[in-house]
Parts: sequence; structure tokens; C-alpha cells
Amino acid sequence: MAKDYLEPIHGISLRDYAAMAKRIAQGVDEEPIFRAMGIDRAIWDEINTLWPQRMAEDETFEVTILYSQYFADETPHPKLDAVKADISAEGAANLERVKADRYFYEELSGAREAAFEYGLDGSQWLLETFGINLADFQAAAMKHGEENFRIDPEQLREYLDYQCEMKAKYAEKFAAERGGNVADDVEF
Amino acid sequence: MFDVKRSRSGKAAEAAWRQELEDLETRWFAFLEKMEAKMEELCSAALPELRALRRDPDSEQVYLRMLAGVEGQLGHIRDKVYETRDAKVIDTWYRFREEIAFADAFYGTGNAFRDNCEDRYHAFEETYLDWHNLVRATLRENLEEEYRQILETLDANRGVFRCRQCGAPISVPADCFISVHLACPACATQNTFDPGSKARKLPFIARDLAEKRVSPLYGAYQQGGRTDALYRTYLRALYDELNRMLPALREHHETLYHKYIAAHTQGGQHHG
Amino acid sequence: MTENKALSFLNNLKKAASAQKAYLAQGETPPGMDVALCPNCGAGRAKQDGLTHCAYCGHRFLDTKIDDGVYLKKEDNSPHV
Repeated sequence: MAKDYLEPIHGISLRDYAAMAKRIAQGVDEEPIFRAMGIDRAIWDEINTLWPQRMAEDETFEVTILYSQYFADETPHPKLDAVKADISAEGAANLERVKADRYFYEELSGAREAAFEYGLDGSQWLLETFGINLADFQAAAMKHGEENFRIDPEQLREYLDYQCEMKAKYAEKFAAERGGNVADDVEF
Repeated sequence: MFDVKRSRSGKAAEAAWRQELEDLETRWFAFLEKMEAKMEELCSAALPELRALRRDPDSEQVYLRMLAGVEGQLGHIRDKVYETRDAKVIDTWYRFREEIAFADAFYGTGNAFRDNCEDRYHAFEETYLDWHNLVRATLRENLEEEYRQILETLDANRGVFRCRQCGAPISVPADCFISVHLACPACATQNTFDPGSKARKLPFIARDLAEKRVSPLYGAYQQGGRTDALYRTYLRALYDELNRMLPALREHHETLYHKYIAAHTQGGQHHG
Repeated sequence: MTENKALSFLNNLKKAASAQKAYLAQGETPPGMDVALCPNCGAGRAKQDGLTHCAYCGHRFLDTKIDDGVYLKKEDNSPHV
């Protein structure tokens, strides 16, 4: 990797950028985020163009991998700790469960996919149904994803099977809401 | 291996097998025909709807959700076929192989059953892919028009904005798709120009449109043995298109061009 | 009979897809020009004085260091920092 790919851009480090992007994806207003970081929209627009460019250019994927880690990192950010997303009590409880309970995480992953396949924006559905925003869900996904390399492959298979099972369960519910699948009446 | 198989013996067993395979094959063909009819019904009704939504700038989100929903149903049909193939055709073929030895003259009957069913299954898969591609293609159908509308917006931006301090006209860069500080040529005050949500889509539209415009070259590369030379022709044309649409990002485009050329020369891969 | 199935599914699909709000929906925003005046002394920022500090009272407009970017250039840092 070209070494300067990790140098800050306009004074904004990759860690700063990930923390900002996460808050925006959580639904936090942009202006207070910019103010807290001492920048304006023009600078944000540039770093939001240039950091993704570096991720695309870097053939080692290190910039992308670090970005994901920073995105999932819950260490308080020195300038952004006070700029927080509005999360309902129910949403906060569900989020804690998604982080702590792998099966619950797999259930919501499957459900979110099923929602997409039945014409819903799965992220919005997740927010409306469980109070969890996309950024927090993605951060939890990254944490669980890291675990995949450490656990027994059998255990991993069990998680993924569970996700499929849950996806099928939610798909059935969504299908019923659409009056049944198009090919439900075709018998062998 | 063949000799240990316990055969249902004699002509009666063969006749029973023959009947079972024949029935199953007929049902399998009829089933796939019905599933193909379902895909046709779904897609011929969905395609005009998707195209109309795609053309309406206010329906972008609804279009994307509908698209995922139609693809979801196609996927559901495909999964149901795959599961049925497993449970009926493949399972029967395995049972047949358990009973009838490879050396047995009757083995060919089972073999023909499997070949017929599998050929029909592959024909279904191709039909599925054709529908899937047609549905997917609606994503790219309106790109030239969308790009034209963005150019119109960008063009309208030039020469109409004035310094918020002294009122003198300020010219906006031709491909401005992000906020930019622009100094007033009369009083030197820094103004901040926001290009608006339509122009902000430019890099995304440009990427898709460039891919679409050079897709014949990509096809030539794929069908021409995926050589380095054909890849270079395709990739150069792609980034030339992007440089024309987004001159501010030329340096980035050139870096990507060299990265992908190097990867292709080394690994024979292509980028997606 | 079967035709109704595909059509009714599509109708229900469209209803559900149309009824849902988009995630972080923001709607269309028009292009526009704006100017940032110093909250301390009311001065604008002249090109030669850079973007980061007010040339008159020193107020920090931006608390960062500008590099060469897409449109922004190092020269956009105010000279006295």
C-alpha cells in the first residue's frame, strides 16, 4: 500500500472519517458533526470523496479493513462523543441484545434480507420494527464477522443455518402480507 | 463396486422402474413448464411497471424496492425448483444407482432419465437468467436520460449564481458535484456553492453510464479469450468516458486504470 | 386464475414499497450559493486571506488544516497559521 494512504485528509484521519460516517448513517444531523470536527460541508464533501477513492485505489485493502474496524469501534471519539444518535429505549435494548446474542443478530440479519426480497427497505424496516439504525447494525455485523475467524467452523455453520431458518420464517410472514408468493400454487 | 448391489430382480423390477422414471420425467417437465409460465406472468407484468417507475425521478426508492421484490419472487421460484429437483429427480436417480449396477444393460434407462431431467433443468435455469437479466437491465435503461438531466442542472448552475456579498456573478465549475468554495471575481469574498441533490448523483450515474457505454468492449474482451490487449482497450475506453464526465477526478481514474491493468497482467483477473 | 396471482402480488408489492419511508430520507435539495460571515466581527472571507481564519479578528472558521484535495488547495489555509 502507498504509505500516505493513511495520512489524514484536510486534517481528518481515517478514524475521524469513520466516526463521522457512522453518525451520519445513524441519522445524526450533519451540521453538528461538522461543527464538532471544526470543518464545513465543503471539507466533508471532499473527504467523503477522497477517503472512498483511497479505499478503491489501495490494492492491499488495508484502508478498507481499518475503516471497518474504526466504524465498529466503540471507543469514545475525542470530538464526537457528545454528538449522539437519538435511540429509543427499546432500540437501545435490542441493540445490546444484537451485540451480545449472536442468534438474535442472525435472526435480524435474515429478517432484514427477507424484507428486501418482499419490497421493503430492510434497513428502514429494522429501524421501524426494532429501533436499530443501519450504522449500529453494521457495526454489530462487523464485530460478529471478526468472531467468524476464531470460532469452530461447525459453530459458524450453525449460526448461518439459523440465519437461513429465520430468513425463511420472516419471508413467510412477508409473503402472507403480499397475498402469497407467485408460485405458491404450483405443485409438483 | 457394481457387483455388491442388490437388484430388484428381473423384468418386473425393470418395468416398475421404467414406469416410475417415465412418470417422474413427465411430471418434472410439466412442473418446470408451469414455473416458467409463472416467471413470464410475473415479469411481463412487472417490466412495464419497473420501467415507468425508473423514468420517474420521484419514484427512485419505490423503484428500487419493487425491483428487489420482483427479483425476490424470481429467486423464490428458482429456489423452489432447485429444492424440488433435489427431492424428486436427484433423490430418485440416487436410489436407482443404489439398485442398478453400472454394468447392467438397464442402467442406461436411468442415465437417460437423469440426462433428460437435467437438460430440462438447465433450460429452466437459462430462462430464469434471461428474465433476471431483463429485470436487472431496467436499472440501466434510463442512465443516458438521467445523465442528460444532470448536465442540464449543471449547465443551469453556470452564470446564474451571484456573490452573496456584492451580487457579482460567480461561475461554477462545469462538473461540480460537491460543495465548493468559490471566490467572487469582483470583491474576492469566498462564497460556498452547494450543487444540490441532483448534481450530487453525478459520480454514481457516471460510473454506471460509462460501464454501459463501453459494455460492447467488455463483451469483446470476454468473448475474445480475455486477453490483456482486449482488457486494456475496454478499460482505457471506460476511464476515458469517466474522465470526460468527471474531469475533476482524472487523477483517481488514472490510478485505478493502472491498478487494474497491473492486476490483470499478473493474475488474469478482471475487475467488476 | 394464475394470472391474478402475479398481478395481485405486484399490486401488493407496489403498495408496500410505496408506503414505506426511505431510510434517512432527505428529499431533493436545490443548488445554492451561501456566504459565511465571521460571527465575531461580521467580516466575510476574502480569497487571499484563506478559509480557516478571519483576517480581521482571528476567529477560527475552520479548526483543521486544508490539504490539496478535489477543489480545495493548501493555499486555502489562512496565511498567519
